[in-house]
Amino acid sequence: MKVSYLCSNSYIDGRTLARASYPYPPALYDPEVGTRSVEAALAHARLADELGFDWVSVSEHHFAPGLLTPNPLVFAGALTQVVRRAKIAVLGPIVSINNPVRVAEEIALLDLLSGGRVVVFLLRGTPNEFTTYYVNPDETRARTEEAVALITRALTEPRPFGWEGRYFRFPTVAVWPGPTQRPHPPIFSSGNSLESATFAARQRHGLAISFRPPAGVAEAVAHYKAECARQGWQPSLDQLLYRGFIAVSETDAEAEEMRARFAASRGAGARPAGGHVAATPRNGVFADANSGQADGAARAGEGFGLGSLQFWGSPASLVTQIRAFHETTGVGVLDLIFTGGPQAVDKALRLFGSEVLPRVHQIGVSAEHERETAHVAD
Amino acid sequence: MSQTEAPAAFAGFNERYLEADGFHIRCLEAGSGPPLVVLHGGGGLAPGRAHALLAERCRLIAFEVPGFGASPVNERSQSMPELAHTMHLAIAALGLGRYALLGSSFGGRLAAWLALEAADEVEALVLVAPAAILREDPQPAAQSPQEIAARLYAHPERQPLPAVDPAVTEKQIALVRRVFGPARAPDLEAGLGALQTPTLVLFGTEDRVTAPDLGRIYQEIMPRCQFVLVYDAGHALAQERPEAFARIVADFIARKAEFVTSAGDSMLSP
Repeated sequence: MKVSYLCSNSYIDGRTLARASYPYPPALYDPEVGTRSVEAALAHARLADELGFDWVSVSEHHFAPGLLTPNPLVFAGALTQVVRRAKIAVLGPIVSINNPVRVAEEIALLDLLSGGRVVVFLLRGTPNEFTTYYVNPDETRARTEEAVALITRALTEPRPFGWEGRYFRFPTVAVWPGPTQRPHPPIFSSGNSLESATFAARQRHGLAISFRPPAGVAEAVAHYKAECARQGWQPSLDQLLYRGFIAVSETDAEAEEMRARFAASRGAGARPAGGHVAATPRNGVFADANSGQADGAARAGEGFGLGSLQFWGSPASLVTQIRAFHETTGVGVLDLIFTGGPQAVDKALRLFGSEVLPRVHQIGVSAEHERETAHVAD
Repeated sequence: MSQTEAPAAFAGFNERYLEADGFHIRCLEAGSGPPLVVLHGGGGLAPGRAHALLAERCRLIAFEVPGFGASPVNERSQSMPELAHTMHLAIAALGLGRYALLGSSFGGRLAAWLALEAADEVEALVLVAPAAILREDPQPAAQSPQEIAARLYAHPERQPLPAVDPAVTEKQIALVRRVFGPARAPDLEAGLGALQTPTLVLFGTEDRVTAPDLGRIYQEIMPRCQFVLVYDAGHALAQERPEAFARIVADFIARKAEFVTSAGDSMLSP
């Protein structure tokens, strides 16, 4: 298995989250705190790279201090200068609300800046994000599918071309620089619903799932793999990605305390402390938009997992948990959100990097080797 | 020359017949304004909503190539340049002066040949999923309506099944096979490489007959060519995305290469 460190670039004055709600008044922003936040974020990214994390990731969120990455590709540009070895995973541009040609240009430029280390997750987004640029939520699935087609074409088409879409019209497209990785950087799509997992399989994209319990992840992965087989291909371990929260501590007892504090901070009435998903519009019920309306609403009761940690414990316990998660789900890449303030994250990264990461790297290796060997034998 | 109300299948168009090059040639006409001559694909003359929309912006004249549809078997035309010459004479009989020329699929190949012969008359050329440049010889003709629909459309379930008359199909296929020529015709491509006519090449992103990637070849060899992909449409892109098709064709005919510059009004309110 591989492990990705989500570089959240959180605004480090946590009290700000409690002082308002989405959309957070810009007046609360203090440039000095912003500077310290980004310095801490880049230091953690550098540290994760040095510790052997396979990817460093960023995501797109707006109008809130939880994650200061409204344009993740801009932030990823900064990451290329401190993360020298790991892949830079942009998970991802919310393509339903952005200009697809601009996204393609930014992906290609980032691929150049990073020396061909970019991974992208072309994302539909969550309901609060649709308000950012005033896009009708009912159109976002179709906009996402068209944007994915256009971005892929823009990254690969060798001649100038035009695009007459349902939602996008660009009579002239000719992206410079082109991507460093050919034909294009690895692309992921959402697996948070069976419908989107089908789309990912048909596009030959990797599958990205967030926060769901292992049984739900296993169901999505099985559906995706079956659809991939129908399409005549087989995804690699690197194409099965899961994002979750983690608390790392020396002992299980300490980790249990961290888990309880985390759950309390995100319980009824609490705003998402890590800000991974910025607060929803006041008239909205949180549902993962990538899952589609009906499915998302149905799962609201099931628990999307945002209020709890997915992994917590001592290094030994974490290895056990992650191995079990892999065996249940087949996931090959974990994108982890380390909880706590800057000092806690620093400590957790070091502990995870030295005692958990080397052992997690061994998980799934033999199965992948067998798969590749079988493939060669074919 | 006679002019009558067209049959029900061509509602909204006036039907007339021209005598040209020894053929009795049917054409359908609708709209007013700058003339646009339309050449159909291998399935024959079938103007639809896309053409009706175009006729709101121009004078649309859709010809039936001799040997297609209800016309007698055409055993005389032996090559695409010959057939293009016949169509050139038919257009001349209308006395249009300069005109825009549009051809789809087989009609795209015919239009390309015609644009070479009539370079001084054609002021804009639109090639729709054209079969002028192919990587390999055309696929064997589909037979059943279901096979034809699956080949033509990105979403066959959204389209009516094509009406197929086996005798007409056989007659048309025989003509196409005789005149078509090689997948890559060096003399045609050499001519296109020197053609100064502003050209728009359209392909559906889901085209299963003429792969959309072929568009880049036209863009590469033709000096004044714009290659545009119509998203989520198959080979019969005018039928699947009629509004998109009519909008871009009308805009290109009106503004030629300038169509890449937005002329839309983005102000929400003054």
